[in-house]
Amino acid sequence: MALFGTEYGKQSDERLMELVVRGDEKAFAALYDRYSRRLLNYFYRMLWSDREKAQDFLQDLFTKLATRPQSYDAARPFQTWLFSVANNMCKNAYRHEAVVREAAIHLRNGVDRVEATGGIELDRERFRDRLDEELDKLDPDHKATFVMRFNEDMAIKEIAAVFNCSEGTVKSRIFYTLKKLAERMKEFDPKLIDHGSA
Amino acid sequence: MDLRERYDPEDIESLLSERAYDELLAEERAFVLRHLSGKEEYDRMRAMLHHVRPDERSRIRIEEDDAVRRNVLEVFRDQQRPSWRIWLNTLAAWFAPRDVDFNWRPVLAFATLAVLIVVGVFTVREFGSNSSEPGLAEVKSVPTHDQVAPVTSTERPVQQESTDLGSIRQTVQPGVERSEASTLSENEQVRIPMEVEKTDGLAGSREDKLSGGLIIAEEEQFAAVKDAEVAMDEAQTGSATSHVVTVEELATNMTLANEAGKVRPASDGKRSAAPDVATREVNSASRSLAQDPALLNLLAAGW
Repeated sequence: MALFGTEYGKQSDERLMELVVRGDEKAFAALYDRYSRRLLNYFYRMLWSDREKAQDFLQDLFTKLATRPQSYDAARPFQTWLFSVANNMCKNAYRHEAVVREAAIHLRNGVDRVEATGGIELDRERFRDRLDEELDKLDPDHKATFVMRFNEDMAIKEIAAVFNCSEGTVKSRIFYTLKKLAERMKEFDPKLIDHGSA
Repeated sequence: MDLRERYDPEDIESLLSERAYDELLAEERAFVLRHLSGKEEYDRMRAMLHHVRPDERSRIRIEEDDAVRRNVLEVFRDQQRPSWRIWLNTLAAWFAPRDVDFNWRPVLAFATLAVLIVVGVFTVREFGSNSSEPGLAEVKSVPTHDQVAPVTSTERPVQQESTDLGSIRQTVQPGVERSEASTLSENEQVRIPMEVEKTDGLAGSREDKLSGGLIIAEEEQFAAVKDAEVAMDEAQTGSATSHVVTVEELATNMTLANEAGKVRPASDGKRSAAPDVATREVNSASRSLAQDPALLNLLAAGW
């Protein structure tokens, strides 16, 4: 069946991917438009808020998809397959840039400690910076799970499919991530946080 | 109902997001306390969860660069174009497979190529030379005067021919130079009319020099002309000794004369510089003698 331009947006990811394998450029563009922003922000969160690196990773990911569309496993949902590829790319980046990451964490710790001594005041920007700092200290899988769960708003089942693990493992990761964050960010008064978020 | 069936340890997230610590049921509280230290930690985690979730959703989302979209679409287009390039890596992998068991592939390919080359060369050599197309040049053996058969096989006495030659000599005499003393035999004198005719032919046809092209014949012809001159001198002075010409000698001489008439002597320029009337008469007489069989018979009868 011939697909018109307006119909590409209605097609499922898997159907679009079938067209991509056949060489349909519009289907490829539709998939890019559907996932590029989410993936870009995922990379941005995972790669230490480095905008340029996130752009590069996004381009690399879709370049892989363009050159080897047959590598897509049709048995899996496209979204989970795409995020699993993105997650593996982030893991490789973590391995290659472990030294850089450590240096960045130390640098950020020194700045935040000076600010933190000024008093505990709920400031959303400060909270975000601190949260990112603590997330960078986590294991990549835990951090990725946290980002997918709360930033990408993905279901536990989808995250489990991305990591190819059980849902219980995902829930456990989320629980222990929250526990660590709450413990390491004691300086932020929970009541103030509650009021701030309310 | 068993708590473990109702609440998995990981399900505390749902409790954190739905209920405060004071709102938990007894069994739920017992479950939470198995994983957390107490109310304070529960409240802290709950506050964190409530703050993180909207905070994550409200984060400013960065926008992708348009160049990224153009680049990946360009890559996709390039990938869809048919490519006929043969990568060297592929060739190298084919010629030198990692698995030794697959070495038979290049070996078989090279062996087949070698057999094809041998068969091709053999075929060209065997059947290529039998082509009926004419070549640009053809090498033929040039018959020499020794190989030429006698013109006539008659056994007539050659004295008749010598009689006619005497009259021809008288006609030729005025135009022929006298330069050398005669030591030639009668056999050589027979060449006289033929060589004179050939001399005339030398002046007229330069194209034949290319077709004949035999230097040996030219030298022989030139020598024959010289001999003819000497023979005529001898005939006038009567110093020549009598000699009976055999049929073979006569035929050989005539054949030589005929062949020499087709080529041009190297000294043509010298001799054709000042032709006179007497030479032309000798030429006409010798031409008729060479071409007329009646004259040949008459010549034979005279001998």
